[in-house]
Amino acid sequence: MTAALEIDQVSKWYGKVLALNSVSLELEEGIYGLVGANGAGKTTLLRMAAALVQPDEGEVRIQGVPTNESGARALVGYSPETDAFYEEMTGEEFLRTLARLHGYSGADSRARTSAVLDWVGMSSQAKKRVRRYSRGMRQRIKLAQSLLHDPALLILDEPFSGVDPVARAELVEFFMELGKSGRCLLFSSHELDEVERLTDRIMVLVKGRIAAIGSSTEVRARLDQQPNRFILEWFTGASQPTLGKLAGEWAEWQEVEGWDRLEPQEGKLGCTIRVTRQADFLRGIASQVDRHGWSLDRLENLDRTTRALVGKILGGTP
Amino acid sequence: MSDRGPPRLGDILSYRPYRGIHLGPWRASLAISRYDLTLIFGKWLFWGLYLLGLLVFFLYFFGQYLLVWAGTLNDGQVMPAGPFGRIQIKDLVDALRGFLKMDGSPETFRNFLQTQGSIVMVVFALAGAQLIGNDFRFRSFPFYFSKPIRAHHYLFAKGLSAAVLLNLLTTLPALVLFFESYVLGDWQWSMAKLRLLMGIMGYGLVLTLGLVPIFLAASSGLTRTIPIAMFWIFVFIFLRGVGVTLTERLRLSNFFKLIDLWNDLNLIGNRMLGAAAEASVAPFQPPVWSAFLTLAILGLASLIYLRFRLGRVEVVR
Repeated sequence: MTAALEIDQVSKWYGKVLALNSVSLELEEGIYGLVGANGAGKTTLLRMAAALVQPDEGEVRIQGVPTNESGARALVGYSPETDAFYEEMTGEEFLRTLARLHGYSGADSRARTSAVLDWVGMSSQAKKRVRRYSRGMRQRIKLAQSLLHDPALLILDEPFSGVDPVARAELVEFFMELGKSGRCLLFSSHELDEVERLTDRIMVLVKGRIAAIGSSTEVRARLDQQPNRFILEWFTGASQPTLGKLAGEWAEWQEVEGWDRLEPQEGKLGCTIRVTRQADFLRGIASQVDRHGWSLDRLENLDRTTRALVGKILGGTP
Repeated sequence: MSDRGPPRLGDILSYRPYRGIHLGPWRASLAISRYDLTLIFGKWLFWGLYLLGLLVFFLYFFGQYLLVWAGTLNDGQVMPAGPFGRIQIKDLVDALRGFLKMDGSPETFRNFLQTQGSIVMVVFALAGAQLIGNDFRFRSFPFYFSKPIRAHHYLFAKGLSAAVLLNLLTTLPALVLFFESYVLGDWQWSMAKLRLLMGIMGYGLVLTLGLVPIFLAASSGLTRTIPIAMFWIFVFIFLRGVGVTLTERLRLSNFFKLIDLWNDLNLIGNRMLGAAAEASVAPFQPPVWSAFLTLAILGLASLIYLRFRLGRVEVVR
């Protein structure tokens, strides 16, 4: 069976900047999430997959058709991150114009526009001018234009950007349905948590290279091996352990790399602590709470978000 | 969908893949062009300018009619002329035919097209951002180029939109004037009339091919209305003044007048029409071939620049 998208040893330079460095991927049907910081190369990779950007090295194929061939763009739907609409058009006019760009006749354009407006739940807003749309509506219209020709491969650049939680949940549901319909859906996001809600197939792009690929568990496990910073805060009191006592015990733990005292607050002590193997560390903390009757007020992983993750662990710009 | 209640997100079962015939990308260009024009026609400012153009058109239209009507009267007859008191028919005919050239001759169309040209300049200066500049400014290209069209289809669409605007103000009303003069005249076809008809269309073609590439290149580079208008003023007013000063005042080589692009267009257009240049400027005109060469080089340079601009679109910023 031909893969929906094949990216084979692809590199791309912008002047002296290497945007993508020997990236190889092969995607079948289903949903794939691409995570990375700003400047990691996500948009370049997605535009390359959408046949908008040609690689300097390597080859990209959509359903076996190289992206430098004219037929490739008809096989892919692309929803860009940019919001550059014709603001004075209505949503319906915008979609109908773009349907004509696919080569549909007037009647077919109207029919397909109506179908995708139904799909994305924008039929009631179709006659409004785009400039009056909320961010969520704009995302839906962008999504609708990528679906006009019913492509087997859908590329969505930051589809949740600026979308409120209710609309986000609806989009997630919609993407899940699309993913089950035999299409391949590749989308990008800054947030690993967001990607995890949609798919178990995650790729982390850092400085133009695929730094991690696999299920969310595998990616998390990979991240777990990297140093994470935790913040700990606890209440002071006669029965409470001192920082010195706790630190004495941490010195024995292999997973703790170091710690820094925080400025004491009224009735509270605290520190940040750098650890590898989070699971072992958390088990140790639980045991300390048990043993000392330690009234821990706060225990938080400062590097859990993708932003921090990419910045700290994988070396991108958060 | 209607039989299954209101549509909702995720409801994709009713969607059917397309099994019809895809029209080619050139037809897609027509769609872009049509919506560009819809946007322009939706502006009151455009209709204001178009009305101004129509006033000029009606001046010529009724001028030609007046000439024919006056020709049916006795030369010595006197007629009331509103605030101008009374006017002799012979003076009226002389003014219309000799001074205003509203007699359906090549000079009629030369004057008309040159007057309309200045309105085209204003329309272009104001429409550039809307037609093409905003696409570059707001980076709309992913929407276009993620569809099966290429840069040359996009350029063709934009050029077509500009050409339609230009010819709506110039060639189309000129053709109406031509047919008016034919209907009011002797209803006889001749080679001279056919040549004039071809000349009018040729003039329109010269304006289109000469102005549209420069217009698109300037609008794509400058993107916003004010800089585009400034550029237009520089090229078509400032350089015109410099050209006149260098040739007519300082009596330097007539080739210096080539920097006046509007004059270059008119020189070639006049040749198409078979009309003489205005007597006051005729001695200072460069040869027609040099005007043609200047416009051809500028047109080519504009197209190369446009290709370069579109080639850089893929850069992800």
